[in-house]
Amino acid sequence: MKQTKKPNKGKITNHIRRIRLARTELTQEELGKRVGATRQTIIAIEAGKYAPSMELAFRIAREFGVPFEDVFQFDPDG
Amino acid sequence: MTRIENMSEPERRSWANLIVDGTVFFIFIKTMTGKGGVENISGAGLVSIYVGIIIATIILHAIIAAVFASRIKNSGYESDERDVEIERKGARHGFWVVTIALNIIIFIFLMQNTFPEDYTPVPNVSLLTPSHMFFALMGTMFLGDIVYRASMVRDYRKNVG
Repeated sequence: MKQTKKPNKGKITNHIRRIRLARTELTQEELGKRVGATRQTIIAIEAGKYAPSMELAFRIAREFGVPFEDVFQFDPDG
Repeated sequence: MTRIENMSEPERRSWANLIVDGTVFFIFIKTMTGKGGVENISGAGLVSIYVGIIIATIILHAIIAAVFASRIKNSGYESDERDVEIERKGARHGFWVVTIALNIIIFIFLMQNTFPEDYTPVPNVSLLTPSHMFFALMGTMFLGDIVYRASMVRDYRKNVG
């Protein structure tokens, strides 16, 4: 039986910190409150240590008023 | 900000639960063991230790829950998806520790019943006596709970860089 090759896990990267500082004056805590997350979660997402759910990711992009793919990217080889 | 001020409420709560569980576990070990290992305790003694440990655990966890419920009420903070994920992961780690430990206990118990003279994998520990079996089962329960809490604390520290 032919086996399909298991894909790399990949890595989700983001530009939340850059967009937050360049386009808004939101602190991590304020952004967290607006999207329903804690400051610690925003810190973890910005540092790439936590991949948010689809819902939270869309909320963040919507809060910035930019397309989803401008905020989050997927690196399949990461 | 200090480390404690920098923590979210669920992280502080996981630390409090870890400290309480560790303390009760320490008291349990001190109660059950002497210089020669696990002491042989009467059935009534084991029941009183069991009831005491359970009541102490319930009261301490109820106090923690009440304190953090009032803090959450005042701050309006609720746990988010990351807190839920960290708790779920911790519970899974605790579950696996309990499962593995129970399998080891069952194996040792069966081996000691089959070869009572020849099989002593841990010196001074025999699961053929009620005290030792009680100690092993209660210890497993505590170990699973401590791994659950410790896993949560570790994930909180690991994720927030």
